[in-house]
Amino acid sequence: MIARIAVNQQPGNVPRTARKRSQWLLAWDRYKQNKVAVAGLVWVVIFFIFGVIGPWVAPSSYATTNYLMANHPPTWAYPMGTDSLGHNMLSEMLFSVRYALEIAVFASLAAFLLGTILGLWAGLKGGLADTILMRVVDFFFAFPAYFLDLILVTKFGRGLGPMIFALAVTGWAGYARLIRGLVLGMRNGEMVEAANALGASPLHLARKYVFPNVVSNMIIALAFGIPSDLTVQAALSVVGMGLNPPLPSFGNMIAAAGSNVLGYPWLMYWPAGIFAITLLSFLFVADGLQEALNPKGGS
Amino acid sequence: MQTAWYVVKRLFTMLVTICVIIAVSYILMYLSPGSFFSVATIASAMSTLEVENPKLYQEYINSFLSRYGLNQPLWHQVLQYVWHSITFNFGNSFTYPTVPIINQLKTAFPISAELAFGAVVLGVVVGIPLGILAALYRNTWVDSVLTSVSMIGQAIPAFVTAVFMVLIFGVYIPGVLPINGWGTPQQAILPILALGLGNIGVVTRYMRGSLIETLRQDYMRTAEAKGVKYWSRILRHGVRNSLVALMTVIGPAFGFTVVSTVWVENIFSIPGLGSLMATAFVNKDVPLAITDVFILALLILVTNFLVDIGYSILDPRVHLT
Repeated sequence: MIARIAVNQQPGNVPRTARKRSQWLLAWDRYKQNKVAVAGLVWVVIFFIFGVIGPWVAPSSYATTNYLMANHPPTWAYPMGTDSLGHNMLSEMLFSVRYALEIAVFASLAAFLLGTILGLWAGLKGGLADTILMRVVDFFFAFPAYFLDLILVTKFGRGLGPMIFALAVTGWAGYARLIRGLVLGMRNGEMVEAANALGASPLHLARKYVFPNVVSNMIIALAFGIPSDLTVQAALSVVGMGLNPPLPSFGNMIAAAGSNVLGYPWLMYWPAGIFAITLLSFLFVADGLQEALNPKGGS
Repeated sequence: MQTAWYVVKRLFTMLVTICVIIAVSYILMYLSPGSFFSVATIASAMSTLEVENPKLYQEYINSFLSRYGLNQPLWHQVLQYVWHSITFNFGNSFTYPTVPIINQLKTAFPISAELAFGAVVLGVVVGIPLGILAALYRNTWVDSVLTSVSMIGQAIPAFVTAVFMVLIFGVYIPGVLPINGWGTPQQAILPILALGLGNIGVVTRYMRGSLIETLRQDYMRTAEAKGVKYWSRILRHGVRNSLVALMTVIGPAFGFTVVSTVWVENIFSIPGLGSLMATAFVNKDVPLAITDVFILALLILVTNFLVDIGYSILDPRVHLT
């Protein structure tokens, strides 16, 4: 469908559009071979769907409490039971999916964009700019991201916005280092040399030559980045610095369940189970993408 | 000579890095709205003492003021704080103003270090044989089972594994293994296992890939042609060469394990640096929090440094630059 529109509007572009599509289709064919990766993708899609519709289908708001039903095992009215404040765990779960995705996706995208731009710039420009940026990147690699996140949320608060900000601040360096390395590898290549000789501007070079050749590696990095952000934001809750209650999050639920598991084990089954399956699915997807998009490298 | 120069250079870089980490942490905490380093914060953290012993309270307030130089410009405070930290002169925390931070670290640090090293050793000891097995039986059911299990170990963070372990050993089969506390060897089993699963996964996967790569080399075929026995060939020519490359994953794996230790300690109520860190951040006990971060970052940096040195000793082809 997309190809046909392109044909009608820009006849001159037909061959390029066709080739571009088929490259991604080839990758998709390779991806489909990997059953585990397809299963992971199915779960990730379901997770995203619940992230979008969750707040509307939830039986009640996440903040609704019913003290008469506190710490109640699962019933028809409360399919996942209730916690110590009488929150309906089903609503908590549905809202958690939304917030978890909101934080992980926006933080990863922000880090990805910042890292890509800075990495491209440093790699293409070289010189002093490159040296300074790489020193900064080294600092972020030496400072364990989780600890920096802890300090940032202590300072900026534990709402959705500060959380996204903290994860983005600690996340960009990895993308920047990756893309800079790829760009440096390409910059000395014949293709860029030829474009340079023909008088391509740096921006043109970055957009038309370098970016298309590094984009698959960037997608793989992003696919690994999202589950890592999911993990870190939940892990902040373990030391009591996660998303500010009453906002629900997987980390808050798991941390609370961890201390109550002896008396009220149902508080743990769903949050920890779904969270574990989700992380695993994201990893399977990332792994599948790596195999599909990078057929040359890896085993 | 070259190695000595490298060591000096690395130590210097490490010192600079750690100073920057402390300085950034301090500045971030300092520049908060309602700075944590103010007399008001310190006073509120010590409000019980104020009632119990006003004289001692005033003494502590004065010592905090002079220690952090709160009436000096920021750059002076930062330099002073960094200098105090790298000379291991940490002062007292806000929550426990009578206990020097160094004393708290002395009891907590060995526990965390034991957990982290134990988990990495477990990962190496279990992961290497599993990786060899997966490589030798590659593309069979043995390989797919091992690869899937190691991926699960890698994907699921230690705090989730730990919570599942509490559920299993606390609810389903209570009494088999203790699920909290620290002191007896039994109490170390579950936390080290929770931390170790991820490492086992990493080592297995890496060992598998690296050994498959090694088995393809020409010298493996030469060894076969010479008539070297199968296991001797695998172990002495194959595995030994793959082990060297494995050193490169130990550093990052250790760093990740140290962070995971913080989570696992909180789940199993182990009085290590991680539990200390949780109380410090929740209570906004800034000196303790920054010091805790500093010590753990230092532990990671030093271990990575030692791993790199070890790598160059094991593999003479590696040039340290």
